[in-house]
Amino acid sequence: MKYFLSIVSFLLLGSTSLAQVSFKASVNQKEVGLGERFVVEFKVNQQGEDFKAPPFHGLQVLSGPNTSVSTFMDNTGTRFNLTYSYMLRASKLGEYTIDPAFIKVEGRTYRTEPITIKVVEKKSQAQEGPKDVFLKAYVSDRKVYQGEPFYANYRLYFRNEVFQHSFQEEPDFTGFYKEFIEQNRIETQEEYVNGNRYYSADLRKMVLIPQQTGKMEIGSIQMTIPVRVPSRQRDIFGFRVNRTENRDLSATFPTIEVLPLPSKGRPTNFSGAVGQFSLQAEISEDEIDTDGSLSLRVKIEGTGNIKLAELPKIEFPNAFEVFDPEIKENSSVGTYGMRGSKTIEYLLVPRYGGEYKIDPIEFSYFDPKQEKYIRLQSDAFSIKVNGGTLAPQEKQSGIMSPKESEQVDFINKEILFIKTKANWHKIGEQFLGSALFWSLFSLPFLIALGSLFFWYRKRKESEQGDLLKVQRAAKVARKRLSKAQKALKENQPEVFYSELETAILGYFEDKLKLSKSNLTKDELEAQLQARNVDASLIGKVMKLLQQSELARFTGLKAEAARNDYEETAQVLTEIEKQL
Amino acid sequence: MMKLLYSLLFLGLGLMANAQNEAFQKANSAYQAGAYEEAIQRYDSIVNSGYESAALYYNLANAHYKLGALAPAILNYEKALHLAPKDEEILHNLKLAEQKRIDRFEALPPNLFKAFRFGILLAFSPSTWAIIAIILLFVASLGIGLYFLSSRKRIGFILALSLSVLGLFSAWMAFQHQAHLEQHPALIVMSESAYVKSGPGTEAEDLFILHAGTKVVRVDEYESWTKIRLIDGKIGWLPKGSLEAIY
Repeated sequence: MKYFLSIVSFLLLGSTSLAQVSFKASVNQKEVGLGERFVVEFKVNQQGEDFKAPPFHGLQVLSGPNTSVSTFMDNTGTRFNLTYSYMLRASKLGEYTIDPAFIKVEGRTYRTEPITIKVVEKKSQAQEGPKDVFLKAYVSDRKVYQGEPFYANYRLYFRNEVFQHSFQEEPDFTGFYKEFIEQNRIETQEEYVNGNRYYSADLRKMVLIPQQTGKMEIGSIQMTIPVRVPSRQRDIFGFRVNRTENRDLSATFPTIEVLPLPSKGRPTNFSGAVGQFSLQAEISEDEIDTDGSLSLRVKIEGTGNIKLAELPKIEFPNAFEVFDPEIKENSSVGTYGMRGSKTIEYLLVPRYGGEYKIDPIEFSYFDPKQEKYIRLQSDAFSIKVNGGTLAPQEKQSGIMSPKESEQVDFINKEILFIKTKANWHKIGEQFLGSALFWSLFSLPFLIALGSLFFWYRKRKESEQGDLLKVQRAAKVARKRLSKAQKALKENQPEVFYSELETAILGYFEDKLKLSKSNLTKDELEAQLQARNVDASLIGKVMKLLQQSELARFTGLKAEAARNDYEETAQVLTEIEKQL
Repeated sequence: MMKLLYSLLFLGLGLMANAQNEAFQKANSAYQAGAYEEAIQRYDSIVNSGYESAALYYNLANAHYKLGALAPAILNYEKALHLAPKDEEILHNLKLAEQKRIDRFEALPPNLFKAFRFGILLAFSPSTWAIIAIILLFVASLGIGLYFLSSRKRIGFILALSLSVLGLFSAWMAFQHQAHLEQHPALIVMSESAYVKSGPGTEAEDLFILHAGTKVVRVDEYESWTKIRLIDGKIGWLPKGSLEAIY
């Protein structure tokens, strides 16, 4: 009763009820050991209803609510007690608070005070000296490779009679594939621990296969077991009276270091098998008719995680119809770990005649003892199919889908070799839009513009040249004709025509670099023709010369002279331009 | 012919690329020795140094393929093919890799006009179109020169008119192709499997599932989601992280 605490009573002011309602919470131990069981009771002294238990945060409810009712009488009258009790267990150290519970009595709600509980390291069992019962967990190997099976067990050691355990909790083996070793009955043997004799029994044997890498905690086993212990009391005959006590036991598996499988040298077709294996592959027949069938059997056998190993993939020629394979699995677990075999059997029915081959079947596994990958390979098989048509090489027949026929082209399923030469350029650098592109792109436009410009300049130049020539020619002609003009102004037609003739001949003498004595009318004509002067111009020159000769002998008119002057000037200008 | 032009164009760069060549040779010998992971590292380091080539992506893809990594293999084959669209070795290995892919979709038959347009547009890569344009325009400019500066005016006129029209058309095609690529970048599904959603967000309904190595086209983007279209016309949203762009 000394553990009772925090008794809270609620006074019912103005209540007609004689008895005060009391609703109290209590624990049997304020300080409990880790994993130890303890009891929480909620007691009410009136008939209550709507009992609401608090949530037991962080605590495990082993049983409850258990209700009990008791009635007794004393001097004050009849007493009544209604008790709700829970059996709890703490699995972590620390302080826990049990929140208030609620109950309704005659329409009023009552609550309990919260209780604080301290969970401490397991209190040593009262006995001095060797424990009379304990549990221990073992693993066969503390450093294993991922996928490597190992053996684990936990063993009960006891000195006195024990009974069937009443409570047991095992870890959930997260990160492991586990397989229990079946035991028809638990065998007991004698064992000495620290010089003390114990009986021991393997309560559970199992094989674990780690699936994750790193430091792995398997966890611990919790168990409550009734033990018969001798008490101090003696019976009437003087024998010790044995009591049965519940013992909370626990054992933790050692931490396992799981090594990852080395990535170095890992075959591409690695099956995931870890251990020691052998590969057998056989074919039932190597020569069949098209209406026959044959089977291919592949068997993997050995010690290791055979259950998790992938069977090798087999590529069959398209000419065979392959039925769903039959897979047989056979494995056993024991202290050696796991061993067994996996067999896959394919039934093949040929569709076409001809000779076909099946590539060697490969199986690779990791051997943790040798710490390296081992690659097994069967022989290649060749099958001769007699009769029937040959497999179509190109167009699909009714049986083959287009996809399959495409694959026929890829009989050589290996990729082509790498390239050894490379043209480098900066990433993201592209010809289109680059400076080089724009300069090359604008070059034709520049060429076009350039040629346009040259053409324009040349034309302008030639036009300007013409104008200059005309001006110069006119000047020369006028200069030559200045005397004739003077005569014309003085109205002396005779002088005018002789001057005109002199001017024309003088002009051509200078121009054609001829001596005066040589120059006759005919010769001038021949010379001008030789120089590709326009025929009409030559005619005009000849006509002018003729006229000036003629005019000297015939009557002269000032009017005609003026015309002739103008024409001479014109003709000479033209000639100057052409020569 | 095109190859020759390319190599002439990049000759200057090629001369400076001795460091890349050396690293490339080392990676190649690692590949040949079967040390594919080392080869991948070495190839990647060249990419990280900022240089690329069709051969580099092709070899990188081969190394990934040898290690059984389908998605990176297809991604790099596609990258190589983007740089050298007509290379037979790349096409062959890409086809092999695609056969290992889980997803198989039939391409939609395109409508006639589209098929015609894309048939011309996608006949050459943007760079090849650009080179064609430059050559045509160059010859056209010679035609203009002939027309203006010589007496062979007729030939010059015909050359100038026809080739400048063709050349400008090619240049237009180059930019069109480029714009097409930029507007519809091709992506590769990198995660082993990914649920395509009806909208951007994890709450959206699952439409269908895609597997590693499948090529899709980006249609739109919203926050960390990409709207994609498959070759069979299906449309849906995928998280950006499950995709990687070819270019």
